[in-house]
Amino acid sequence: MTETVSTQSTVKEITRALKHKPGALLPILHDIQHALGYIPADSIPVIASELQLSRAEVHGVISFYHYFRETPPGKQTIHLCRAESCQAMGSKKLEEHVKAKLSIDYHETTPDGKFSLEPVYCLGMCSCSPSMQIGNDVYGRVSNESFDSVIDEREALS
Amino acid sequence: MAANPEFMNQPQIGFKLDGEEVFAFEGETILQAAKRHGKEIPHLCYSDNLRPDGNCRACVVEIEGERVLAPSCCRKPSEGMNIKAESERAVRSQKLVLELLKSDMPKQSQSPYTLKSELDFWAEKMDVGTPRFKGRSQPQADLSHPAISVNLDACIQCTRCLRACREEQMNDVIGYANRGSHSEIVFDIADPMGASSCVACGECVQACPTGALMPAGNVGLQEADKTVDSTCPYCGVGCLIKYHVKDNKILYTEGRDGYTNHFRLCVKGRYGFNYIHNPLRLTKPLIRREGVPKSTELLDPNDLDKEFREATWEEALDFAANGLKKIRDEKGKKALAGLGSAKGSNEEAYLFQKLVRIGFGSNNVDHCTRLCHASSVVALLECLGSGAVSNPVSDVAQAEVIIIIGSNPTVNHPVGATFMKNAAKRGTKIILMDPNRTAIAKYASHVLQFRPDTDVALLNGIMHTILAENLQNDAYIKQYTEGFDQMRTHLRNYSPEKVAPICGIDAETIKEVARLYATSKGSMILWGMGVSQHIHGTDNARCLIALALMTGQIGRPGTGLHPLRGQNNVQGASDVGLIPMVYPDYESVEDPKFRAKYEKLWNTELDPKRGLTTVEMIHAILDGEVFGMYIEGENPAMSDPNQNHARKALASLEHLVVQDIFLTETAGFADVILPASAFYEKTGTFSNTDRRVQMGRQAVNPPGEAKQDLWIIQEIAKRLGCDWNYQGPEDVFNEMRQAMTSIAGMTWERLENEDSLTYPLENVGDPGQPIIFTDGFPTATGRGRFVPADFIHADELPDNEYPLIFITGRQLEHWHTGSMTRHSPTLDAIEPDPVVSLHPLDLEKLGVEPGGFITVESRRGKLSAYARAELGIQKGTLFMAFCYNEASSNLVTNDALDPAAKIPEFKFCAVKAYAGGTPDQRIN
Repeated sequence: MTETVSTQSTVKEITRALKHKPGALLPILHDIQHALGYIPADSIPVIASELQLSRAEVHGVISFYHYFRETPPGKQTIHLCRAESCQAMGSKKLEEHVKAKLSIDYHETTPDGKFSLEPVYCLGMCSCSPSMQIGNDVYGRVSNESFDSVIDEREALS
Repeated sequence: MAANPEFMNQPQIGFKLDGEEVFAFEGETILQAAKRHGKEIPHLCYSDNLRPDGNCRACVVEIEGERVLAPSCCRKPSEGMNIKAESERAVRSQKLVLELLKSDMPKQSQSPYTLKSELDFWAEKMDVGTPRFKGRSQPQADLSHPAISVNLDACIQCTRCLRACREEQMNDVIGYANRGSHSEIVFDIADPMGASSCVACGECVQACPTGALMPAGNVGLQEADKTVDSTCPYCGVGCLIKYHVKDNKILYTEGRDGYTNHFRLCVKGRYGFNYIHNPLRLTKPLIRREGVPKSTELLDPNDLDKEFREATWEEALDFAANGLKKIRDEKGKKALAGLGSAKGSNEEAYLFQKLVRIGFGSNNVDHCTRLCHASSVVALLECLGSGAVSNPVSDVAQAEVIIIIGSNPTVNHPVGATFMKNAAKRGTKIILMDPNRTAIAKYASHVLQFRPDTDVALLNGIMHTILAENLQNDAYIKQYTEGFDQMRTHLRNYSPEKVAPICGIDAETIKEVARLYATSKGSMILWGMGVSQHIHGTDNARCLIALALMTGQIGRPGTGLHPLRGQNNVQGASDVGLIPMVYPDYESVEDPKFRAKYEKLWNTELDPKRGLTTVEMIHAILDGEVFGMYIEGENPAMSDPNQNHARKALASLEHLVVQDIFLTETAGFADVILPASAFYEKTGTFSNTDRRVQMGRQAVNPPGEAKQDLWIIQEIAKRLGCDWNYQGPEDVFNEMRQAMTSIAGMTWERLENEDSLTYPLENVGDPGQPIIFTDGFPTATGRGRFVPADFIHADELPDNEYPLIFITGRQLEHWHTGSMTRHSPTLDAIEPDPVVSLHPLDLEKLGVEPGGFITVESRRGKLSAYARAELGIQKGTLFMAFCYNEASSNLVTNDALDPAAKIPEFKFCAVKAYAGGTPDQRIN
């Protein structure tokens, strides 16, 4: 109950602060995801009513962009690049390894809530393929081994 | 044929289409121009009354000199363009689109949901065979809505439903979510349709080209025997509808291009017709068993056989008429009264009032106008000399400012509301004034949620500002009005600063609204029962009229005064004299000149005194003045205020004749019940809120032995000594034309041909006048009168014992006392139970959970219903519809009357509310 109330007030605060900007919907969604890690379903009616949009329109935008999530993520989200260059440099193999190591598939979160896994289509790091991003950190030339050491290190931290 | 009449006066652009020299009117697309020249280019995402979107690409054409094909639904031709719609390249592309879309269909075959799939039509016409492509994985059916089946496996994502929902009706439910091959049509946040905010207007169903959205129950797979062009039996907007009929049953409906609806319909008009097929319809005349006394309780239908027996028509008519005759002859002419119906046709209403005036011999005839716009009409007659609306609803498109006061149009005039929303989208400012923040508030620039009962203070404050800031239209006032100086003096006491604390709206907002209204190029006022149903209802309307007069916001397009009529024929029933003080065309019964006119026309002697109004009749029964009544299609046991009192009166009548389609709450008190016909079972004319007389045509036959009302009224009249022989509605209409100057030039033939004509139409061939008062008013002086109104309070104010305010009204799915809509399985399924709406904080204070039971009690009665939390309801007030007999809101309401119009104060009484209680047993 308390959590919902505070989530709702965060959503309201962000929406009201940005609603007068032209094209306010995307900045609002970004800020909500930044603050809460995802865009809760019950924030949609709030955003819609503040921006005079329909709920369907807001849902349409959220569901169009893969980056926006509608469920809470793990503590850290791993974005693994699946674009052409990374694939050419063996990202499919890496992908299999990552899924096995974490025992989860894309769009899932580890049972301990530490990691979520999401595909991404190009991080603009083609020269260092295959690449991935965790939080604000970007990693190039990722191998199975370097992935493991990054994860182990981060697991210890979290 | 003209595909697009709106372009017809535009300059022409010549171009070549498949080698033929043709032209387009400026603004027309290639597709539209081709269609006008008789050439159909395949299209799916394009529909005549929706914005072209160009997403399906089935309509591509080749334009000489251009590299790529162009969608003809979006592209406008330019002079000299050489266009090929039938070149090999264009046709190959058109066919490929159709083939790809067909590969998405269930089993890659014809639509399993409709016989009229446009995709199937074009695929067959273009000779597209079995698709060569793999099918897609198909979504599940969504059958969660009682009125609409959603089968997105037949969806081609043309987004016609989305445009119909968002841009046409502006209900904003349908969206387009996800992307790429995952794209899909969704309701709200991908909710099941039945759980979404859908209001079931069905515009999406009408727009869908493939049957992915269809009326529930697979009716699209049945071939209709016939279609009937008629109108709608519900509200005063008067949408024109096409009924598809099979085996004497209505299968489904379709909006027609009527002046007031342009193909649009709402949930009631589109899906609410099936009450007529309810097995509970009355099919045989019933007579009260001898010796069975009447009770003041509502009749339990299970006890029907104990209280009534079946009779032949002959016996029932004799019994009905003899009972009335006996009272008339023994106790005098004024011992009888009649209630006619605003649901019947003009012809029925005309005959009914004539029957009372001649057969009963008094003016004791009224109908539900007394309970809705009586006060508006009294004020309009007094100030402007005519009770009619000045401008049609469609004028909102031309207004700069619209004041909507005391009206909830999205609920009560849903199709009219869509045009208001459309106008707002184009920049018209809507000023909503209402104690409840209703759905149209979303489109309003100003929402004045004032305290209930303070309309006069608020409106006087607005007028004070106009004069204080010298914004009045002096030229108009001088030329067209009288009594202005008195008004000016009167308004001195009503500064915005003074009225602000009374009505709960700050002075600055009042001033802003005043400036907006007064200075716009066109300002229109639309109002509803929130204005009229007060003991100061007439005063409220006087203020609105004065506001229009002092600013000259009347008599031009996009201006004027529009009391939105409730019933489909409340305008007409009033016009033809179903009112105790006036004959047809509002000619006073107390004016010897008019009495002489009707005595001559009807060849009879008439009562020179005005008769009793609806609520006065109830009092007169208990006072021992009225002993017998004839009630046709009205339901006072539900609709009258302070019902315990009204029901006691009805039960004590010596003789009550009820003519209706169901065993209504009122019918339970009858001595004889005559089974009548529903709207769809007869032909007649109906006058809508815009003064449009429209043709309603019979689509099906009445069930069992039920008879058409015109016949029943005539049979009763004959037995009361009237020598009548009308062969049908046309005969009656022709007599009405002799009586009424307003429709003297309106011929039955023209109505048959054109379906809809606006009066005044005095001479044959006249076009009719949608806008009146363009040059003064039909008063004795030709001027409009200012009538000052002082702020007074409601009859019963909240106090310590009864601290809350109870407001009654209607709901989208239910019509008035519910005798039609609660018998419609579709509408009843959408809104099945009685609900009282409160502000969530009030609910919390009372300790009631939303969905829990709440009891509302006044000095007169109490009810229990489900509680609903609504943010739009003002704190300290409760809102409830009056259609639920298991929790009848009129048990609670106050029967205090407006002194001028005799309208009861349904919009305000003091109550207390507490948790608990259960609704009574619902009576069907």
